[in-house]
Amino acid sequence: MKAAKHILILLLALTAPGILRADFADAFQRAAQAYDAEQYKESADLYESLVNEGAAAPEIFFNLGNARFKNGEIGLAVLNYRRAQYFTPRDPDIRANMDYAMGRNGAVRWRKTTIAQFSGRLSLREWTNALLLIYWLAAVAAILWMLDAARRPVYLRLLIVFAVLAVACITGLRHWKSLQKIPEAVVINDGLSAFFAPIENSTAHFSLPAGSLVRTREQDGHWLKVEADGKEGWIPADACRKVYAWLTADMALE
Amino acid sequence: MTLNDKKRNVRLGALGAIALLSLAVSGYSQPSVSFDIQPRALRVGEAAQCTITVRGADNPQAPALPRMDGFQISGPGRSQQSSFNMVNGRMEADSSVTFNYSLMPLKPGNFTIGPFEYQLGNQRAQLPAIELQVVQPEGGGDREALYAEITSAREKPFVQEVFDLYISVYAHESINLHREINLLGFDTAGLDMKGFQELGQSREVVDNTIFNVRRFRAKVRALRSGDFSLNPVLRAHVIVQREQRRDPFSDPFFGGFFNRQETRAVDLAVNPLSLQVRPLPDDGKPVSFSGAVGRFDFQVTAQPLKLAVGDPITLTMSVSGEGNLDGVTVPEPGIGEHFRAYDMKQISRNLDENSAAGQLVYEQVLLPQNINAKELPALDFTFFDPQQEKYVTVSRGPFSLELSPAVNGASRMVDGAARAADSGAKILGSDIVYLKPAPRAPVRNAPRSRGFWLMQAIPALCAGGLFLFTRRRRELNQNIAKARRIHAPRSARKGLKIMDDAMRANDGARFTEGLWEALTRYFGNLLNLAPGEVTADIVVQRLGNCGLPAESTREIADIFRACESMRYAPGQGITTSDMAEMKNRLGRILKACERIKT
Repeated sequence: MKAAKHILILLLALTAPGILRADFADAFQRAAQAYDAEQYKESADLYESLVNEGAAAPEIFFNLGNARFKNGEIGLAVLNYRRAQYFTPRDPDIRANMDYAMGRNGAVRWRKTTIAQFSGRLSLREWTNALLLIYWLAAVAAILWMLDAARRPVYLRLLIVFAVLAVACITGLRHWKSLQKIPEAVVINDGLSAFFAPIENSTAHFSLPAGSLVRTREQDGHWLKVEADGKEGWIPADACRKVYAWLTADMALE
Repeated sequence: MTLNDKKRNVRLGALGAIALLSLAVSGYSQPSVSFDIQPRALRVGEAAQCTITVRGADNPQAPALPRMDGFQISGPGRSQQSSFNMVNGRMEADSSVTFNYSLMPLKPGNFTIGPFEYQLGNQRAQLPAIELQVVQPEGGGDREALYAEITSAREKPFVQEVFDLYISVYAHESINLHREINLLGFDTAGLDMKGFQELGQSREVVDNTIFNVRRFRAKVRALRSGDFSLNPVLRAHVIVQREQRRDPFSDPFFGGFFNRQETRAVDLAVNPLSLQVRPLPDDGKPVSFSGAVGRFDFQVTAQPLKLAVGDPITLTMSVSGEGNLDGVTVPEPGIGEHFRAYDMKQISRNLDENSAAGQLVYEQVLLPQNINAKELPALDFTFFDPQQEKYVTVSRGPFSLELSPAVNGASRMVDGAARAADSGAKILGSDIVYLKPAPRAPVRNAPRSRGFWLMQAIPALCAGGLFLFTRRRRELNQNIAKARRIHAPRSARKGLKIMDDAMRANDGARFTEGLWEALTRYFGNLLNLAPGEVTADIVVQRLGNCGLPAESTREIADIFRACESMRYAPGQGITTSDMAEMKNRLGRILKACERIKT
């Protein structure tokens, strides 16, 4: 009896991921079918429910962005395209759709520095993997340098190259870390203006169409100081949504 | 008298002088305050120096000058002077602090400065009144010599109307105004105001007086209706000649160098501007009005007009003109079920913030779905013209279509810009990229396990361990004595093993051989001795030098003696208990020797 119970537990443990995957595939397919039937709101809700259940993959965010776009929610579309970009920054489809959605509304972006542009070419996971690979190779080169005295100059040159590459990787990681500390945000509300001060009747500084990708700088109560297109201004915090530095299965989106 | 005696006498003399000085300076005189303004007759724009000198007070506070209408006050600057004077054989100290103010008259007239009180510690000093006569610069009237005005191009603008706001700075021609003018504060709540642009400098006659005028303009848009009071705070900088100083070289070149100009900040008086912003009228507001206020032109083109069902038509809409182009939206074409419409896209946005003029161009792609889609309906663009104070509607279209049945009975795919390409595939339109297939796993980039991160320690541990090993090996190769010392306990083990075997076999001779082996090998390695050098005397002496207690050295000497007597007098019998006793003694000795540093 006891043995049978153990076998049952083992079988459940082995099949559980399969069940989860099957449910996910089914929900994903239903969301795609709703999209094809031009039921964009239903499609977006289905993709959103997958995300709320812990799924986090660029394909989900990309498709969710498409559904939001077709449903006329440009801000939410750009938000999800940007989230997808955090996983696969070089995906041409994501970039094309994001540019299209932003151009559709005349949305603006925050101005990236050269280092930020370079760091954004790889995702956080890719920078981490690259750094780990360099670390292992450098350790091997260091061991060979100690064991093989005759070829020490060769290994020394290799170690210098690895050190330079490691600095580049750390720069990339720091960029993503800074996005975690000072996150990007996407303007959701349409017809939004950034003000000179965090006051209701303050002077409007510049307009921020929905879908604008801004960098948050400071928070004062319900107001966020944001930077976009080289200008800084205050907007209500609930008029935008933050794009997290990275998404994991155990991290709720909002 | 030696040199040291001389030095001692000098020191004593100096101390005496200081003591005498301290005694002689019995105290400062009573505090006194003097007040002066020079010159007392001056022109508008010239600066007068006001000095208040305090004597005999310790660290006096800066006095507060009374309110002076018509003057711009800057300062105070503070300077301090101390001196010692011999009066009737008595040393008196004189300390004074002078506060300097610069008074810049802004209008002509006779002014009385003071009288006023100056609180000096517990005392109150009464400062007398001083009369100043300020005259207008040559040719001047009664106006202030430096002032500013704010004016609006529209007295009663409409909400969302873009209009010009002017700030004009008037300076009498005798005043040398610095280029820099600061807008220190301007409450523009409820207004969307762009930056001020300088329009240039001109000369104007105001009240028969010639003024140099600098004029600035900003484009303003009221975001709400109601009354506004605009009262900017402006600061100008007037260039004045620095006070003449004595030229130390009596040379024109150095004279010019020491008499340079300086600027003084002057806050300008500005008349507040009341602005009444009117709401847009509700009467006659067309349904097609979507918030455009200004004067605009609206153009629409549709291409091609002769096509097959399913072929794309590109509708290009352009709004140009002057006004709140930021908030302008173009009308959606009122197509029925016969057309399919793709999202409208802004393809050009050309706005000039300084003139509030520009052009917006949008494109939309329409697909006739069937042969009944014979006409694109007219498009109405409505804006409010604030000059005419009425709504204006510009209508474009309708556009008649010449439709033919669909090619192969199927409609074309997405369309858009529909610009003909000279070669290659014809671009029919643009849209977002379609959905992506399901990912292999629901979660990408799942958090890594602790085991994974622990595994990352392996390369560092390997490299670090290897580094320590090679360093140790190199060190032992270079230091033979250390290597032998480390090797000593291991080298004694062979002899100890022989002793154990001999004890079990009750073989006295072999036991002695093992004991000798252990002694010579251990102490030879421990003390880095050649095999022939391992004798009781040398071992005892070297270990004694290393700090081994005398009791232990005696025991070592005894063991050596016993071993030698057993080796060279084999006839003497040795029992198993003797062997065990000897082995225990040897063990104690070896442990004691391991504790010392050789």
